[in-house]
Amino acid sequence: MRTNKYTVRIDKEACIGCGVCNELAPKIFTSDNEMKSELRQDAEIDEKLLLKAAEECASGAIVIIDNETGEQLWPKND
Amino acid sequence: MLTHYKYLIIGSGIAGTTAADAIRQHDKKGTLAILGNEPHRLYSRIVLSKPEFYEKSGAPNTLFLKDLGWYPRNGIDLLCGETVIGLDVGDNRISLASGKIIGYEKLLLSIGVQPNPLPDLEPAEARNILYLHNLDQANTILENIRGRETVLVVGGGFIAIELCDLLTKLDKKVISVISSPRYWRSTFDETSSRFIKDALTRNGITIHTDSFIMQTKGKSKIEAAIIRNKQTGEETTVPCTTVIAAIGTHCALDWVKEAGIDCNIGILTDERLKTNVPNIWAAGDCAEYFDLISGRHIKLANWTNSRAHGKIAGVNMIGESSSYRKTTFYSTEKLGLAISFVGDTSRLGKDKRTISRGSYESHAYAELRVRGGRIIGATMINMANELSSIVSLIENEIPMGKHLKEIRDPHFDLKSLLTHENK
Ligand SMILES: Cc1cc2nc3c(=O)[nH]c(=O)nc-3n(C[C@H](O)[C@H](O)[C@H](O)COP(=O)(O)OP(=O)(O)OC[C@H]3O[C@@H](n4cnc5c(N)ncnc54)[C@H](O)[C@@H]3O)c2cc1C
Ligand code: SF4
Repeated sequence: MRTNKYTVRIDKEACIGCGVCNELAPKIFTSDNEMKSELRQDAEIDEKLLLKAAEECASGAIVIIDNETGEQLWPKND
Repeated sequence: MLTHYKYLIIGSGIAGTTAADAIRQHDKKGTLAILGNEPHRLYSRIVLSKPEFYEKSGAPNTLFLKDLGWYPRNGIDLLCGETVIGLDVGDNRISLASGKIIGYEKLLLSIGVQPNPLPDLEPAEARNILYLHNLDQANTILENIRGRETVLVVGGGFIAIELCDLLTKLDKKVISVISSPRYWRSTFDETSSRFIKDALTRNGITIHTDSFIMQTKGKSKIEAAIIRNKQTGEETTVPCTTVIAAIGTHCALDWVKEAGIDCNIGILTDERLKTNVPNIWAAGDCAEYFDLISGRHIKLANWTNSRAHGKIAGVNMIGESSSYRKTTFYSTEKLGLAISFVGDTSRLGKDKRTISRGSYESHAYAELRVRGGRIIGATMINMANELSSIVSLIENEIPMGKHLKEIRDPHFDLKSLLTHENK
């Protein structure tokens, strides 16, 4: 999913469907048939919540890229 | 003076940390400590079986789930590297291996599980056997497999399969040894086990079933393992550089039992996660809780359950009376298979039966556990797209009625059972 600022992707293979992202940011995440995280079509991206969800995801499945710089904000590539 | 906390949490994993968070949402002032015997703040155990952990030398930035500042910012004392060895429920005190004593008003036991040690080895040999349960053990594995070629994995359950997949992805030669004739025997039937065996073979992993390690060779480092086949008695020397055992887990409950807390395979609680002793709760992998959905005590060991337990225990410790009613599951994509476990997956229980859905030939297979005419749990291979339907059928306690036969057929749409009148 691409918004003005970010491109957000769920790594479905890594996602364990724990529901943490959905609980922290229900306006951004929902779940699919496999109970894995999915980005809402009509997601309202709150930057702080998005990053918090990504940081608390135990499987590192939420990938966030800054559109302007192309930098991967999460998981950091250091 | 005796250190005393209003809320004392033993175990710094996801259950304990979530409970602390939940307490702080409601009680900003009560003194609160999380005490754990690992020298770390909350980290993801899940990352320990992912290639990133090893590729990034044990430090991927997805590892730690809280920054160090989170604890003081929330008025939480994090007491790392301390082991509880005693509990006095009369005086409300715990004693630590370091000699310290800490008092509490309300106590949470979120002490997780421990890996079972490999039996029958001399102490010197046993020291060389590795386990994958915590961060320090994962770091030891990392050190041991740097440039090493052959890893022998003992065990046929979840962590063993995770290891086989991980080590294959890291380009190691993998040998799998299990003491039973087939994989994951405690949970899977023969068809499900066959998927695992074939996937291991497809991934180039050598398999020894019905076998156990008698002895390892090599002094400070392993050079080979001697394994014996239980059926034929044949002994084989298998050259290998590392042995990792993943033969199940147990709760270390001696001091908990001695304190008078009721335990079975875990710490027994009611549906509010309260133990038989006032002001003491249990949560996470160590809790054998009364499950309102299956109507019996169950003990699960997955991340979602532990986190959700932490939340309920936390709010109950501040005085609420919330019940835990959740169908948890875990899914993993390993060795080219999508494997899911949901609800009560145990095959044991006289009043329970298993209905098979799909087949080996169709590459998709589920074992549905049924009791009292409704589904209470399932294991699924390559059927993950039905996971949400099965969770809903379990949670909504949908009676299968005349559909019990039809659900064997994978073409029968499980969603159709979730009609409005059924819900
Ligand atoms: C390698 C690996 C991969 C996994 N992958 C998945 C997965 O993909 N999906 C999934 O759902 N689950 C997975 N799990 C399981 C999941 O990680 C656990 O269910 C979860 O972490 C349990 O959390 P907990 O807080 O209950 O216990 P723990 O995280 O085990 O925390 C308990 C803590 O208490 C400490 N402790 C114990 N006794 C004492 C004592 N006497 N004094 C002081 N401290 C003590 C322990 O050392 C530990 O630090 C995996 C587990 C492992 C090991
Ligand atoms: S927090 Fe991570 S693992 Fe959990 S559902 Fe969201 S993306 Fe999946």
